[in-house]
Formats: sequence, C-alpha cells, structure tokens
Amino acid sequence: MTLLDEPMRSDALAELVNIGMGRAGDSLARLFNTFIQLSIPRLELVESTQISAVTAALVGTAGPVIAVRQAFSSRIRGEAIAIYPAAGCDSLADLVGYPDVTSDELLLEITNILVGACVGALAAQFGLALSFSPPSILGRMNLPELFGTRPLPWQRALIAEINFGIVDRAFCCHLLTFWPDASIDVLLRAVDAFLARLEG
Amino acid sequence: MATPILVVDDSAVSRSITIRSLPRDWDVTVTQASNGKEALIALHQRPHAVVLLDLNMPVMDGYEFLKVVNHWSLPRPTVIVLTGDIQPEAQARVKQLGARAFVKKPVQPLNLLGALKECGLL
Repeated sequence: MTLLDEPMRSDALAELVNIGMGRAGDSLARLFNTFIQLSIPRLELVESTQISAVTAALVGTAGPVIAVRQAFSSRIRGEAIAIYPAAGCDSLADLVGYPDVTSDELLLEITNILVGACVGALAAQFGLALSFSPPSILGRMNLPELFGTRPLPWQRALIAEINFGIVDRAFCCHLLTFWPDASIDVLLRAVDAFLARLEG
Repeated sequence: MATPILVVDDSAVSRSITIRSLPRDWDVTVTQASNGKEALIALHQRPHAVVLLDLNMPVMDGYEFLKVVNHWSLPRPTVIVLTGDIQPEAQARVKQLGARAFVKKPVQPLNLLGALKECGLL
C-alpha cells in the first residue's frame, strides 16, 4: 500500500501541510503587509519520469518563471522548489517597500521564509528538527526546462503543492515540496503515528 | 437538551480532531459537512446552534458560507472559525462577516473551550 491509497493518510498529511501553509502565509503577510490568499494543498505521488508533466499540471502557468530551490534534511530529506511566474516579480521590491533590494534577493528571502515556515511547521508536528540549505536561484526559464535536462536523484517522490497569491497583484508563488524515495516511508510512519495518537 | 453542532471542514481528520476537542461533559449532537455548500444544506434541513467552520475548502469556502448566512432569514447559528490561516487579517475578515470567535489549528481543547465560553455557549 502506498501513502496516498489510504484516504486517512493523505487526508492527515494534507491537513498537516495546510497548517504549515497557514504559518507560511502569515509570515509572508507580515513581509508584504497585505492579506495572502492561500490554496488548498495538493498531494501527488510521482515517478521521476512524470515530473515535468505533473509539475506543469500543478503550476499551470504558461509564461516564464523564476525557480528557487532549497533543500532540507534530518531523518527525512527532501527539497522545496518555489516557482514564481516572472511577470509577477517585476515590481516585487516596490510591493515589499524595499526599492534598493534586487528582485533575486527578495525571491531568496521569500523562499527562505516560506520553506522555513511551511516545511518547518510540518516537521515540527512530527517531532523532526530539520536543517535547511541556503536557497539558491535555479534561474529564469519556461516550466518544461525546470526538470528538462538534469537527471533526478530519485525514482519516486511525494509532492505537496501549495500556492500563495495577493488580490489584485500578479505576484504568485507555487511552493512544491519533494519527499523522495526513502523519505516517503519516514513521512508515512510519522503520519501513522499522528493518526494513532488521534485514535488513542 | 443536546446542543446541535455542525462541524464544517474538508478534512475528515481535521473534523475528527475538532469533535474530540469538544468539552467531554457538554451534551451535543454533531453533524458534519465537508464544505460550505454542504453546511448550508445541513442548516436548511435543521437549525444548528453552533457552527465550527474551516476557511479553506473546495466548492464553497468559509468566507462564502459566512456571506450567505449573514443575509438569510433563517435562525443564525453562532459561528466559530477554526483555521490554519493565522493571518490577523483573516481573523478580522471573518469577524466582520459575523463569526463570533476564531481558533487556530491545530485545535487544542483549551482554546476551543475558551472560544465557546467567549461566545456564551458554556
């Protein structure tokens, strides 16, 4: 049985991601000093060969994007990729009110805030303390190029997708977290333990 | 007489946490709905004194639900919002839409008890 075949497991994991997303949205709201619209978390179990198609379906954007990557590890390891439609990043510094900061610096900072809050809150609910790599800009590209060339270091991964938006602004961020191979089992056991505590 | 409560959340796990967090000695009958639309149907079928409402849901979210309930002529339930969206503005928005109290997820029994007391339900 896989993680997502069991409805209560995927439901519990989605709810835990949802709580992490709430923390992340609150941090972003403080940075932008505006209300952040949150999505409903989506979970997908994917083979590495399907990654481009699945990502395209989850993000669903046509134009160029800017992608930022940040890895995390402990007993569980994985990575987060924040995907920002480039059109929404043009006036980012003005939006935040720091005209002297470059768009890249802001995207690194925003990614760091979102990943730390979201993945950190999720891991905390499982009693896992994570360490995070510094975020790095993967570049400005069209979405198919994101996974287009480099071979992936995993066979199968669980992807959680959430997104953040601002009313009346083009700014948007899709945050994808990847929990590859062995980490899926660690995550699965943590979800089962969480469900067992509910039953108890 | 038992107090009829409607628990509205798209996550069955989250509904279960909410129901388990209700005060043990409180005499209630619980109905569940998985989005705002289902909740409106449940309220049309039978009045509920209390609605425990999630915000981010498919089909009809908590904000839309509150807008509808605000404008109808049926008896209005006391609505307490339970959400992972902890932005202060989310709290301000739902209170403006008529919600009486706001509880952050993950729901803790003491926080829910506090909200129920705040609304004069206990």
